Amino acid sequence: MGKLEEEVSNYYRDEHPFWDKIPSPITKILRAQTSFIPVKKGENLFNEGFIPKGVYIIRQGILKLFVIDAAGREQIIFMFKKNEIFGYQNIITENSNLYFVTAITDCEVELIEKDVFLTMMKESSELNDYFMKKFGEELNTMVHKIIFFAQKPVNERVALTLLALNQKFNEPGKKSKGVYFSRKDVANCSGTIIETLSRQLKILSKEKIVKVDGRNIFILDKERLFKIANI
Amino acid sequence: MTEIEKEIANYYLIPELIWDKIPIDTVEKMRENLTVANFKKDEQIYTEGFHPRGLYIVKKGIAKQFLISNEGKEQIIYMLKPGNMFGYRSIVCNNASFLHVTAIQDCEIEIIGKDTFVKYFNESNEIKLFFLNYFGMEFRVLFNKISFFATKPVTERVALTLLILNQKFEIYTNDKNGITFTRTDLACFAGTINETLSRQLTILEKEDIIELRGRAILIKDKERLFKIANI
Repeated sequence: MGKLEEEVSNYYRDEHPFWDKIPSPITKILRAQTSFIPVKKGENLFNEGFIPKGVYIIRQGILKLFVIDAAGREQIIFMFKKNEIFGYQNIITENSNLYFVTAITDCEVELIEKDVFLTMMKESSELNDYFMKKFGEELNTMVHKIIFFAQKPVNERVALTLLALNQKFNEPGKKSKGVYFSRKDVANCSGTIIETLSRQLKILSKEKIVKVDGRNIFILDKERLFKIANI
Repeated sequence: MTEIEKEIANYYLIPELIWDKIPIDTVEKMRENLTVANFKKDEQIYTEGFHPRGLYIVKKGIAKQFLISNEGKEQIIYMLKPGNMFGYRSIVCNNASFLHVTAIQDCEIEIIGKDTFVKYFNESNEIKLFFLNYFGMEFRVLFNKISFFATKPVTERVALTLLILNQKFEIYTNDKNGITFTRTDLACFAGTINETLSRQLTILEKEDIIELRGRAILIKDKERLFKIANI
């Protein structure tokens, strides 16, 4: 990762496979209690106001975590990919969640039931340490998100969103698919509306910083996009 | 707490003293190695890139924890009062801090050295659980802040800022003068600039919702301010 990529990576999470990080005796117990849930594209995994059933681990696919504002607009806070884990944050404090999670591609998700998870957290200091560190890192990412939404004007938010989605959702070494989410999802990640996003994309295309090809947005000049993102 | 106050409390960290939550013999051992540091108003407690010396607990005074944007603008994440802690996340995640902490009043801070903290952290399940829970609370606060900044215009941000700071600090400061933070700090908390903040304050004063007495801001009509905050 270059310096530029490292800066961008402060704004999203990229996880190692969960099961590799946990000692095998614990993995064995947890695995026996883990169920597997297929989630279809467009399906809601959970809704605001519920306490999650357990800890969700993404095995495959992409999901979005979002809130809905007073005007009914969706605001995406996180785009999840493989290996990301969610739900545990609310289980630990027994709080209902404040957000929705919806699959934007067909997904495979693993679920560790709440009671099993909480029991194992008490028994296994390795599991506890793992979640402690992970939780701390996630809060660090969230602090960066605050500055993103609180201070950045729309052109910077769009530039940073493109950089982050491009970096997170393309596998290194493979041919880049650019940013391949719907315009609506990209707009909702940037905290803006589709019309404003389109206007920004037009400016960036004219400057030869990005190339729009149907739904895909390819980054032609990462350095200049990074300068616009101003992080 | 009234319903309104409960809603507002979702947006700040309610101090929870670690000493009340862990076994008394651990408390005594940890406190043997405790140092007390004094910081003058406006003095930096630490800066970005610094490895915190341990767990910091505010004993007296108020400090702000903030990020600095590329343009040098502050974004205040937390206003800390007695009982609030900081520094622990860098230790748990083993990274340098990317936040700054500065005293905005004369402060007395208790510091539990890193080695002591790590030792007892690893030995005591109660301490781990305490911090896991604390992370859970932080998650809720940061998540609420992100969705707030992502979806709310400046009028609502200013209203909520006044409500949060008033509620968090009114009992502690115990004076009838209301909020006495500088205008710059208020703007950096709300994610806006001084001029916009002043304009919003003038509007609120005209509506008889607040009263401006020099630097102090007195909330006269909490109900209406809450309606404007629209949470």
